[in-house]
Amino acid sequence: MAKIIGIDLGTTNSVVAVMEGGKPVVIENADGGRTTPSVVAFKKDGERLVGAAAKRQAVTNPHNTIYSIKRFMGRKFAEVTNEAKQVPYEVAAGDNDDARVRVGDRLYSPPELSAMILTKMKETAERHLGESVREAVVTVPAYFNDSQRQATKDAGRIAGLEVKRILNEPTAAALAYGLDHVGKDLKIAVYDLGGGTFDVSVLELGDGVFEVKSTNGDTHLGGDDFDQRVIEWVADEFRKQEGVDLRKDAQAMQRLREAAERAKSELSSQNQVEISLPYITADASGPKHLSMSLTRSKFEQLVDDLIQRTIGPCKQALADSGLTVSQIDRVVLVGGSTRIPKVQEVVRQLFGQEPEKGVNPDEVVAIGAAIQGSVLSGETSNVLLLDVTPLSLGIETLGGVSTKLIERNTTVPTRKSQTFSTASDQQTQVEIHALQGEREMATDNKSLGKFQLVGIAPAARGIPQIEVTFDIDANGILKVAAKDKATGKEQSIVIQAGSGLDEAEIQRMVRDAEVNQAADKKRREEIDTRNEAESLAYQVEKHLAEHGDNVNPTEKPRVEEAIALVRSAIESNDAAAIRSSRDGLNKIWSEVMASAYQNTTATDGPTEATGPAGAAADEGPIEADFEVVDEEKKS
Amino acid sequence: MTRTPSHDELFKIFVLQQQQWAMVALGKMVHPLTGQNERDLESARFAIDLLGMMVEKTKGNLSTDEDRLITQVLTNLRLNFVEEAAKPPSATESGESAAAAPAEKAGEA
Repeated sequence: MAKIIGIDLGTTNSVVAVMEGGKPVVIENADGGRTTPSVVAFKKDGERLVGAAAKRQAVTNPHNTIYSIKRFMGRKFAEVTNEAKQVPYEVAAGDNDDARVRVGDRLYSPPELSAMILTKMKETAERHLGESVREAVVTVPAYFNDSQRQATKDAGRIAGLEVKRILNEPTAAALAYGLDHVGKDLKIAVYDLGGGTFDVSVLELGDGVFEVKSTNGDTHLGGDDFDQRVIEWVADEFRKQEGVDLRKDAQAMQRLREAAERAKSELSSQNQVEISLPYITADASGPKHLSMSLTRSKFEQLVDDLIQRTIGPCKQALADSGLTVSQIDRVVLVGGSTRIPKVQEVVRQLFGQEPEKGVNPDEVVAIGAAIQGSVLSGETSNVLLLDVTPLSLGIETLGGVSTKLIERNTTVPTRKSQTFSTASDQQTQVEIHALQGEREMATDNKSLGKFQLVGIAPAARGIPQIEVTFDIDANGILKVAAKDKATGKEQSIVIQAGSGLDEAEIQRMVRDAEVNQAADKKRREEIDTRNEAESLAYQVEKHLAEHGDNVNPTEKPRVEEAIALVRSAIESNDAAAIRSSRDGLNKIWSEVMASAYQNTTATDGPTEATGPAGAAADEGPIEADFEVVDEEKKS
Repeated sequence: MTRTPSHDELFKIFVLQQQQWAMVALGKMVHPLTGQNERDLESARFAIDLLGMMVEKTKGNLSTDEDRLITQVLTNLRLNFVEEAAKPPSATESGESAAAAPAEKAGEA
């Protein structure tokens, strides 16, 4: 049975895992890394880079290097104006006012860019498994709304993956943690502070059942914000010292961003770090160097309010779960930002216990996704997952009020119906406006979609009975239906326009991704050919130097000429020339070795008397074979 | 239930088996029975010549990948043979066994 892989599509890094022999395994990418930077870059020559290679060139290509794309998934442009200011690439409004990224003269949708990362993760898994992968479980922050989930699902489709389940990140982490504790009754809290989002979930584990009791979070809070605080501080200090505003220099800002991220990480284990960026910028007086010390206490001061912002959602999640702090048995930390000592201290104070140290905060989500994948494929059977919807769902009713049909933290899948009526006399149609959020007024909540139910029998207001049904599947994706009980007329929508991509657009992106896949494959083949050619030239040259005596002197110039041809083709970076010169050298070398071998067999073994070496050298291997046999027969 | 390998798969298996046999005989790989590196150039030569015969007999009937595989394996084995033959004979190589081996194999052929 084909494997269903688990992918943690993170803001900063992504991880892929799979179940093998009943154990979850995190798969290393081609660079040997267990995490892959969620970075996509477009080079000037049209080449597209994903992962570490993209991250490495960010300093020299800041405007075309896209990171933290997860922050823009399923978002309207107006919702992300703050985030857009923090990134060096251009975020623009698309056709439906969705956030898009401009690269050159093209607008890319966030799902399209995320698909490039997913494709990389898919390829990593395929290389490891030695078979093609078609299905995946992809994780999202628990507090992602419907549009963001749908956008993530679309990204999977564009990457050629059927997303079998959209899984909440803290739930995935709990699955990974809980798999080692099956049989115990535990109440756990998962505190997940990732690169761009914060989530907290409270779960109950017992007899292999993982029941999410409540979830909460903030989709605008993560490690990136911590980096940003360090960047702002350094830029301010630098302006005070040197009178130069680094914010105006994209390249300098990219270097500073990397230095800030590094400093933040190092401050988890050190009390003070040096931020040193020579030649960061220049003015009329010459080059400027940046050199500053950042202490842990200063860093904690810079990010204190951000850490404090995680407390509210934790308290809300606890209240929604109906549990008290003292009833929580374990607190599991997820996400790289939970390595920050101050974060751990806040968690310790909040939950009154030491957080679990046994899980790897970078990998635990992907491991959970892989476990869920194995559950869906039937490989694992002792686990049952009951997740919840993070936000309340309802419709707009008279006076712009949001009327909830499904309360937040309701276990999914679920289906709820409620009967509504018309607001005015002789009304023959109603608009169903689906909403997501906790606010009382419709305009304050997230609009998921609208549709009209027409053909209602004319009657006095309040008489028609319109049954509205909300149906949420296990992915947390919603279908809304409305039915006039009198006429039986029915209308429904699957809330999917929210990702900002219509079907035709998704299909186009799927095709684009396939074309790019072909281009990527071609490029990889070219690199392989180049490496092969280089190694062949080296191997042949080495043999000529060490065992040149075995090679017929008249053939040596021919081999050397073929090596030179390979080298010059590599130098000119001409793929066709590299291939043909490699084949040429292979052919000549094969003939030369056949000849050398022939001579060796003729002089080394018991068949010494076999004809002249030169004659043998001119013949193919088959003749040599018969000669040996004949010789044996003679003797 | 087991699956019967296709001819394409069997071809690759054959080439790689021959390569392994030749490499063991060249003393480049540990002998699976003795756990020692034992050089037997005559056996190596026979394995290499068998592959050489295959190249000639299958000419025009192989896919590009198959052709590349067998040609590369053969070139590589010949190169190793030439290098090994230039070294002094090892303790395991006696004149008798060297002479006897090809005779037996020729008989089998």
